[in-house]
Amino acid sequence: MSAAAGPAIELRGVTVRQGGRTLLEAVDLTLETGRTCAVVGSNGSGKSALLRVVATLCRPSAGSVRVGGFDALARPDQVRRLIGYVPDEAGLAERLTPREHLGMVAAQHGLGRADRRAATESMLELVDLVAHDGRYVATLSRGQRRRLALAMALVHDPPIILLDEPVAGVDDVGRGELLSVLVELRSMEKTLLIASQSQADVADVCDVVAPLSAGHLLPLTKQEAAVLTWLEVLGDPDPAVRALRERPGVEDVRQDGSFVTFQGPSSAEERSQVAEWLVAHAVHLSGFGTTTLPAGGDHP
Amino acid sequence: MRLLSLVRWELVLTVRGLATHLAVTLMSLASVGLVGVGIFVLNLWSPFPTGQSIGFRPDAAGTPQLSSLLGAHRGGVAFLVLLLWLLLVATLVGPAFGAGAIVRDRRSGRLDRVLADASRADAVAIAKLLASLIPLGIVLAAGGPSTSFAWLIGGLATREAMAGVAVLLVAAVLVAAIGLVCSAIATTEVGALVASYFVIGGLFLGPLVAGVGLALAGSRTAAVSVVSFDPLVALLSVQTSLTVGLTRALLVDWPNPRLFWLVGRVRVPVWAADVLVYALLAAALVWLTSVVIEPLHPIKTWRLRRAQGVSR
Repeated sequence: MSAAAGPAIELRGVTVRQGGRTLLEAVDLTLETGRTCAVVGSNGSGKSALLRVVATLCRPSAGSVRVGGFDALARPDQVRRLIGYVPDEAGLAERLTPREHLGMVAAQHGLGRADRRAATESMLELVDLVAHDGRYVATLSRGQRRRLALAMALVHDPPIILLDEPVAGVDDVGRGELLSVLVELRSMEKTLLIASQSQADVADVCDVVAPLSAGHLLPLTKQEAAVLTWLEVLGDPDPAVRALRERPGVEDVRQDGSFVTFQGPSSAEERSQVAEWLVAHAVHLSGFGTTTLPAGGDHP
Repeated sequence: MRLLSLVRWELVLTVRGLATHLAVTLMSLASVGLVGVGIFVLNLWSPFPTGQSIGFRPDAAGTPQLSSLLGAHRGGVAFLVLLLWLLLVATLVGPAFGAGAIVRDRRSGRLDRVLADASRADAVAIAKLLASLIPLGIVLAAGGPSTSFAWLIGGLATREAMAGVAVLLVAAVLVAAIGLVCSAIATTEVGALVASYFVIGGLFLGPLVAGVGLALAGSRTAAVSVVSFDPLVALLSVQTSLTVGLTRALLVDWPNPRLFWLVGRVRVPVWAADVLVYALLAAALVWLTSVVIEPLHPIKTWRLRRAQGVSR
């Protein structure tokens, strides 16, 4: 499963017109290998069309698409070997089981019998569907179907994964499970292109956000992880909260019991200075540390 | 290998559905009923003509009476009627198996999924065709034994019977391919089904209507040639003496039907030429289906690639 040299995904001037409507207008997008990009926009903004263009399932009216170094128009077959695509509609057959779905996809990607079996087992484990592997898809919940769709996209170990609304309509538990799989994929240096209506849904996993509005791609924004400083106060925490709120450079001070959290100081040295300053203001600390907030995320 | 895998899963889905089982059951019951009616009729009226031997064939130079012709060819006529019954079933049931296949998959996102899973569009189209042909074949097989009734009353030559079955099977493949391509083009299952029946109606009635039109316009030779492409005529033409006799008995002013095509020095029977034409037409329709379902088929991207100077 090797890709040619170059960015994982490269769109140049891609325009898609269908039925008199312009779904995408002169979209330029470059995604380097191993990066994760969230295409964010409202319904009808063209997110799915963009993913379908990259997945070689939608013919652009103009522009060029390169995926894994291959020209998607000239070599769609090569591109399809490099990608795993999770469509918005999961595209599952109601009367097949998860195991059968995975076996079918593995066979389509040319895996031998033993590899097929091994890939199926590992995917069922990855998406936690081992207990449901013999049930018809018709009996699975939406979250389980989304996880199966994700497993089907991963069964041939593609370097590039395209996900259309991966957590839409999934409950909180299912969402957490899906996101944990995406985080794991990101740590495996996979290139992820995710379409989502809500940036918060995918903030945990993306490096870059590509806002899309009425088919136009707006300037990309980088997602940088925010550092949250926490401290545990002995005795009354109110003086510590008041002091922190008055200190310049400290933001978003919050208190939860004896714990106080805040953002602002960007370096370890600055954070140490804040702690020393609190001690100087007669605040007794029993604990102090930092944690990384998900990119684009909010306080826990 | 990948094609077999696709076919396998399509068949698993088909077998797990209700439609095939229902169609086979109904077909078996209807065939049994048809043969029952045939046997009942035999008790009331015998097709065995008095004073003629079973092997009688009418003189090609004369104009045989219809009743004596049917009596002489009773086995062949019964076989023809039963094949026409099976062909009717194939034309009604075939599109029902094929017409929804792609529309349904497109609506559920499964077509995208299958294509994105490195499946070639032509393999998908062939798999879909086979997946609709196999249940159709089972349905036809369920009705097949009813043709044995023809041998109860005299039968016909094995070669003629085999040729008739060949025409039936290839016509069934063509019907399924028409259902498939309509499914690829239509946006709803009902639309696909209606379009399929419309096209199949054209295939079955078109050559007959065109032939009559040409005959009325005075082009009788062309009319005979055009009519010979009709599946119903192809089925009839496997029994040459019956074909000639029926033409003379029913269509007095009609010229002799075409029974052979001359290809160089080889005489190709009309039914064999029709089988070849239907098979080629079915293959073309499967290819057309693959063009329709493949978003980036070279034909569709040719202009864009040319503009970019990219060759495939």
